[in-house]
Amino acid sequence: MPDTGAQLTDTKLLQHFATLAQYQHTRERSSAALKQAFFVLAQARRSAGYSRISPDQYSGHAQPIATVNINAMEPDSSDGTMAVARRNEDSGGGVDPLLWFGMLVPPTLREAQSGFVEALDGLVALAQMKRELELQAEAITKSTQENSIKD
Amino acid sequence: MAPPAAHKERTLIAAIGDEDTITGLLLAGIGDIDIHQRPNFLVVDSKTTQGQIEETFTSFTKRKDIAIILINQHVAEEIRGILDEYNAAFPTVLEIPSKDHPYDPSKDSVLKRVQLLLGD
Repeated sequence: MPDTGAQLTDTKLLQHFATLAQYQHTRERSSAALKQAFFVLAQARRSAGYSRISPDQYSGHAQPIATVNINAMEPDSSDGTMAVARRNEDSGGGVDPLLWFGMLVPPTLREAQSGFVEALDGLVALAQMKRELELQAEAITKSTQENSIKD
Repeated sequence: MAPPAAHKERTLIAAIGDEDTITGLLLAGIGDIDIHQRPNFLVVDSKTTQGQIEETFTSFTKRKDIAIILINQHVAEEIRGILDEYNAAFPTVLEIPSKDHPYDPSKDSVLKRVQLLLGD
């Protein structure tokens, strides 16, 4: 028996709630990762001195080593992904930004970098889920309107 | 909708936030300064005006090489008007916590949209 319009809308809603739950879970983990990374960065600043870890050290020739790959996304589908891509200097990426802050950096700054790298992966995943939720919401609204016209 | 190939140029992650946030994200490797000397990040401090934040956000949204814009939630509040009007697929805008301003779900536009969808 084919799905009725209402059943199809219900299916879309359930999928939406599942994605939302995943989004909220990832938010919690990402926020915790960021909180820890900020804490370690503060430790690095205390250790090295504030003036050594500040925007004054940002490179004027920065090139990204962390970028995003966007796969194909269809208008009516929540398929398609964004994922972090990392490059090293040998494959055309920029210089490790850790080196902006000197050749000898405190171990805590290296640890902070790891923390932010992990947090960034979570943030890109959140951006992906946000996009999926938006597409799902559009589909649900369209489906609901179509059901209203039929009734 | 633009064909998938149109997204191939969108690879950068831009960021608007306080010093700790930008330093952290730059350490993670997102930093880019293009041939026109345009950075893909903005450090917001006490001297940064609302106009500057709006101008930077708007310029990021118009660039074709940016995939995601990360913005501290407390900074986003200063430009809530233009943020709420922004509805393009790319760049995707994501609000993030800062060291001093934890994530506030009541201000999350994603959750607000879900509430609207459910008619709350």
